[in-house]
Amino acid sequence: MQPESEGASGSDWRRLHPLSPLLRAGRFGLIVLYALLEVAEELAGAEVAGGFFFAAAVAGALAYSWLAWRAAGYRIGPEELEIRGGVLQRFGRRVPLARIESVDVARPIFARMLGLADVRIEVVSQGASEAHLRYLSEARAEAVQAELVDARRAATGQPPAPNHLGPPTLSPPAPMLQVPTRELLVAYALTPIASFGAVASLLIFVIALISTKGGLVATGLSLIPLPAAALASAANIERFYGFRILDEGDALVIHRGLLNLQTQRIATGRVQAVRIDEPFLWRRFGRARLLVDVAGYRGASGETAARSAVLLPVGPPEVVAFLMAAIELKIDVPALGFEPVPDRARWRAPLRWKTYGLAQAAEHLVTRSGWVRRRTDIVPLAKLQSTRVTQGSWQRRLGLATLHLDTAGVQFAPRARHRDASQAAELAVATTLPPQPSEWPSNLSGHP
Amino acid sequence: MWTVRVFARPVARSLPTMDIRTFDAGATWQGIAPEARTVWRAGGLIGFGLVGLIGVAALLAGGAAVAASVWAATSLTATVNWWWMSERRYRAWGYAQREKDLLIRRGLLIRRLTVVPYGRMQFVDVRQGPIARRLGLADVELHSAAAATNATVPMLAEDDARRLADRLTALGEAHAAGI
Repeated sequence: MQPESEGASGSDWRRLHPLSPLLRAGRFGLIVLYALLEVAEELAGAEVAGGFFFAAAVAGALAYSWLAWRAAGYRIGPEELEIRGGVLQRFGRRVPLARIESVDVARPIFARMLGLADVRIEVVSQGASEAHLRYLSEARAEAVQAELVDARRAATGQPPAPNHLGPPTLSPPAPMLQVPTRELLVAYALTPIASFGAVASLLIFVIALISTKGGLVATGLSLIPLPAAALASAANIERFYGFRILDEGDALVIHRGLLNLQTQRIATGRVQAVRIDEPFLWRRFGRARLLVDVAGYRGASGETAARSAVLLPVGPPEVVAFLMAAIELKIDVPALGFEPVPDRARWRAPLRWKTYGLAQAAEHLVTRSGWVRRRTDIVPLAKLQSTRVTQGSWQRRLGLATLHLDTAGVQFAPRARHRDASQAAELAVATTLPPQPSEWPSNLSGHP
Repeated sequence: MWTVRVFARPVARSLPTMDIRTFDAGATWQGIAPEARTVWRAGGLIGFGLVGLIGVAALLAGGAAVAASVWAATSLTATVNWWWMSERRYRAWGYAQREKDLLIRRGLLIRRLTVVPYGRMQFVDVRQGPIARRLGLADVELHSAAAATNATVPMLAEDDARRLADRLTALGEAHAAGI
């Protein structure tokens, strides 16, 4: 095994601090030890034997943590960062240096008490894909942070993203867009939940009237579904009251709320996918809702920016088109021709097969589904991370498959269901991505 | 009119491909290591076998004979089924390295095909469970910016796994830089 102790420099494997496995076990380990002590006392029936058992358990834990320390290590190579570890299940992770988004040094409370720190390497802005070097002494952690930043700069010629959300604006500009309250009230009284609640209460009223022949009882029963529906509508109205958007150049800032004022910031370059929701009653009046899925971002203090945001709670098609242009999505949805699914899909999805559609624009893939709430998902090819085709056993017999479009967003799962199997597979392998100069530029307003 | 359409077009037509597993894309497909079956079978033996032993122990201890024998019989069936299915699972896995992307196919009941372009790769994981390590096998996991990307090639021979991970890392770099 390598003879280096914690802190030896060089391009070879380096160790973490010896206390790391114990710290990582953390509270869980303490609970386990306590449980073992209880079990030992039960089994042995005598304090001495229980204590012996407990000592054996502690020795076992120490031995395991020594093994874990020996197995773990990290290495900063010329092109990549390599981390390895594991006693029973070994793992090795290789992160190309150019993919490192930011390097933070975090000091969780127990680590801080021991003078250790956690180097957090954010690889993907999703917040869930991070690599950790747990734990190093504080001095070493900061040295490694500096080293990684230098190495990344050497690998790409750019420093990693700064941990702030852009320069503050001097004076608040006039809002780019404002949703009238009347529109909001009418629209959210007509959502499917509200309309179904109204229909349900009417039905219950009629049934109760027929069966009990008592008007008062009927009225009382019919009022049961109303509160739930009314609450849902009221909650939405409260969320989007006074909705207005300010344009800050590389980001859109949303102010909304009645009781609970909220501000959301959406970096236009970070929009992964866009969804247009059109409930059936809204379609009659030409209204739609626009949502965006944004790759999450975790700043130094641990907050996460908007992940899935409503960009427009209700609005006519012109406003939807205007907003899509504002987030740099050059696509004209009403002009798209959606390909339907093959007829044989009726055997697999008899109620919904007619509502499925797929459209390929020059730089986007668009899927559509649903009637009660028609959902149109728009995925720019530049944000498409991977494609998957899945085929269940019924789909296999009918020659159908579902095409999944994976993006870095976490809220939507755009997919084209029950397409012709060969078409889906061809599309999955042939979707050519437009050339990108660099996948991860340093400024936050860039991709993804 | 609707009825006429149903009869005018037959449900089953000859299509280029119906089953995702047979989709070729003109690439050379490689399989995973044959020892994968051994790993899965050993895991199944340990898992189901241990569970079945509880039933046998209960039988011997004179407990509820019916319940215990049902338990033992079920786990025996499960072990045998797992043993037999390992062969089919092994054959269902395949991967193909194309010029710009990696294709992975898997699945028996639900057939899946994953396409990950090299330029979208974030990092590569190589994992080894304890049994796999003994037999010299490793799993290679490819991660993109999407959480849903599930691109794992399991149970490759260690050298193949390392070579694949190296190659993917290099290709990821090259494609990200726009070369």
